[in-house]
Amino acid sequence: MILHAVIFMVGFAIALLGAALASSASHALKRVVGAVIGFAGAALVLSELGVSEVFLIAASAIAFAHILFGAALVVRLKETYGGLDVADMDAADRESEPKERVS
Amino acid sequence: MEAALEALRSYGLAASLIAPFAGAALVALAPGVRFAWVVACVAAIATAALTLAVSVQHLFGHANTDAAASLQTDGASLFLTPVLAWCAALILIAAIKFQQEAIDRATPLVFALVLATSGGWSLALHARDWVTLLVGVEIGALAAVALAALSSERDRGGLHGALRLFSMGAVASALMLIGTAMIARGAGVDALADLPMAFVRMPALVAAGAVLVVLALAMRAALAPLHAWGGALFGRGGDLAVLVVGVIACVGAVSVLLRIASYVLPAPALGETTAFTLAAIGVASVVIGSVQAAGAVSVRRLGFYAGAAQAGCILLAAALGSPAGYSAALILTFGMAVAALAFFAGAAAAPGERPYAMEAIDGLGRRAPLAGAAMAAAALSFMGAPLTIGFLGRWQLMEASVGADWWWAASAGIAASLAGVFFGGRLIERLYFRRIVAVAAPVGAWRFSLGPALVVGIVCVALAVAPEVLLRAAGLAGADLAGVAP
Repeated sequence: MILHAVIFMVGFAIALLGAALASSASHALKRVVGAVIGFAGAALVLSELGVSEVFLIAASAIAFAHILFGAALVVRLKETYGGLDVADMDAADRESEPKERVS
Repeated sequence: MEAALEALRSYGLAASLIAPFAGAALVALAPGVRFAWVVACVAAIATAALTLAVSVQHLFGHANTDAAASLQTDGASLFLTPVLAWCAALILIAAIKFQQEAIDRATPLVFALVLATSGGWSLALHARDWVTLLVGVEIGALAAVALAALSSERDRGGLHGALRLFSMGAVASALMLIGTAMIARGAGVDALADLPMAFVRMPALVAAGAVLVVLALAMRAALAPLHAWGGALFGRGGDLAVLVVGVIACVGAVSVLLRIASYVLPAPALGETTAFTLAAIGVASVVIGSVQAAGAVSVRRLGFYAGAAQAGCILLAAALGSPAGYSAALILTFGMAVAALAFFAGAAAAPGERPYAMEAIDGLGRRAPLAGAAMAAAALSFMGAPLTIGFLGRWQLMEASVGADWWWAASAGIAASLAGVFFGGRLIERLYFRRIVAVAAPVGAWRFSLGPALVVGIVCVALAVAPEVLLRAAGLAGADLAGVAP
């Protein structure tokens, strides 16, 4: 019983860690890695909760689709911005950010 | 005629959910941009007509649901699926104007992704069990990410917006997977409809799961303060991506959230926690969204933040858990969809090198009267001005809140309207009382494709003038969601 609770908590903590990395990492690739970690944690929680096979298959498909989309996005960002640093992208976008006209 | 009605009763729901995906497959394979656009429009209009027919038959004709094993209808799905489907059809009609936002080769795929986004959220609205709901949500969300990325040819900032949307989506997906698994395990039921009657063995686990699901959907619905992903996309994303995310994805997520709330709130030991979570996020979204809208320096971000404030009102109404509360939430969701459609379609007509900047709409009411009127109508609706759909929704929210002694919720609705006067007034002043400064580039005849979205947006915002049918439908759907006879 305690082991189940520990596995559940560890899985949940891994999912939260991945979520934090995916939402706040300073590098686009790290964000995708964060998503992978988040889904790995979620998979651990799901298996611990004993969900149905259909649920597990759907979860795997969702995780796989996200990783695929993330990888494609990283490639496009590298081609377009010449780098994957989120702060650099912010700075590049800020250069042409709309400013209020003084009238 | 009788046979057609019988066929509609038997296969209408399944057909309305298959049509967008079948259409998307055809569009993706279609040769040429214009041919693909025609096919996409036909598929979207057919889907919208089917969903409307099914909803009318079920809501007003009290037809029995004869859906496939993994599908189910309820008040939220019947009322809101036609709204999403018609918005998607109008956006697709306008989509040909934005063909330069993606490379030629990718443009048919962009049209297909609009259909997939709408189809995914419609599937989630009709899901009988958690797995189907998850699949629907993910199809809708990932299609929107792909659309945002592909529509960034004109401005690379859109790609950055797609990254933010992807990051948020991955977090929301992980939370939603865990949350739904916790609910299914703790309550011992897979079907949503079984939840209110289920014997909940582990109430703490199910309550925590419900909170995670609400948070995940709140992120997707851009409810403040979980909407940080939207700044980049709504600031610099392509017009089509902004329309699809702002109208279909955000409204779809709010609709699914409303639907899930209606199943979780009556469940023993879950209602209180869920209602508190919904109300807390709702109030936060009203306050933060209104403040951000007042300080926005980008016209599309202003619409995005105003939408967040409106979505906050929807959550407040849903948290009441009463027929009147659900009815108000449905009217508010309808109002959010049509106001966002009018606003973002109007904003897409703004000229200049930086069409997203506030100064781009200076004098737009004189240069493009229809687009200006649509934006003004949307602004009036966001502020809850009388005779607009926004007013009708807020009025219903206040009636339902006061009826339940939730004075603070009514106050939040009034605060949203007061803040709306500030940013809405500023917008209208720019539209009609400022000198035109943006230099208009030559535009082709395709700009007229925005017309239907603008006209329908204005008409729907003004539906509050004669709201009998809308109120009746919302009343029936709200009663269905609350599980009481109308």
